[in-house]
Amino acid sequence: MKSTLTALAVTLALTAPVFAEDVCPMERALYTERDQGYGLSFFAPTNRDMANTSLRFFVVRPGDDRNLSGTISGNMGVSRDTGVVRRDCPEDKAPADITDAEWEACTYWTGVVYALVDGGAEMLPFGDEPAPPAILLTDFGRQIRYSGLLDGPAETPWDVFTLNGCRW
Amino acid sequence: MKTPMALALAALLAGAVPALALDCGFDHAIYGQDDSSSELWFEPVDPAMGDGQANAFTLRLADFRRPLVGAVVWPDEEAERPVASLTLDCPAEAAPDASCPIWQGTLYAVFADGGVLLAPDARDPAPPTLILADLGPAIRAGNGRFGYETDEPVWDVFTLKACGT
Repeated sequence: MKSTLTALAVTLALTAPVFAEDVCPMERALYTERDQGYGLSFFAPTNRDMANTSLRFFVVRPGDDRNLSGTISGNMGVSRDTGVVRRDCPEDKAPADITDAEWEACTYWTGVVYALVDGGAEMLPFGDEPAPPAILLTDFGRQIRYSGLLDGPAETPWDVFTLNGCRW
Repeated sequence: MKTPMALALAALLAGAVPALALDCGFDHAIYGQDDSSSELWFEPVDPAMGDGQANAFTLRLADFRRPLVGAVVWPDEEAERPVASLTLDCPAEAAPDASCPIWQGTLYAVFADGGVLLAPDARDPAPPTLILADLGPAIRAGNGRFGYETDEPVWDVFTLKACGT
């Protein structure tokens, strides 16, 4: 209960700027997850990213001082917005030289991402468009749970992330 | 195509279904899409399928001749996560063979207040909106297995439109 109240206080504190500014561009949006307090921090892709990378984000885990690194890619219409979260992938190799086993070992989640708007679900907006009030990282909790990252099932996060701030 | 539309229309005319049939049981709910004629028809779970199956439904694509058979199973209780699938001509087993389903993924229920749940129980009230994660691309990829042409795109989100009997 106490932790819930603390979380609520933190949420309220972080929420205030969003409401004050009304809209936050997707590429500066901050999201939080209700069960474990995971955070997502979005930013624009760099020119080192693949051409179909539409967004990048960090996954911040409470109690873990090392973020995970996420990308969102899509081709507007045909396939869906697909997210990938990785950490500790080989940095001394070009991506084309990394083996399937190496990718698998450093990949913690892969799935389709939806914007949750007005009781429905849509594709994600472009980076400079307003961030939706919530986003759904499909199958996120289950995959994180079996990724080897957690100490036990009680640490499983939920798949929905709620907008709670804007990075300026 | 004709039959589900006619039934849905009949249900609407009978006054059983307001715009949002909030009092419809999930296992009688019929969902549709604004931009396609695809429909999801939920039905009571056949007890013969065993305890593992929580929901049963069919996907009726545009110009459908044979519905795709949908199921939500909880294969691993500890995971507390359901697996939804759509199959055609797959062996009748509660736990689908990994290679046979045309689609396999997570089914989410979305409510007007923005709340999201994993697939509710078949006897719960029908949620207003469902997301079948990454459904559309899977249907497009599975097109050659349907035995007929359907090139109408299917989106991954369905909304409650009628209540079956």
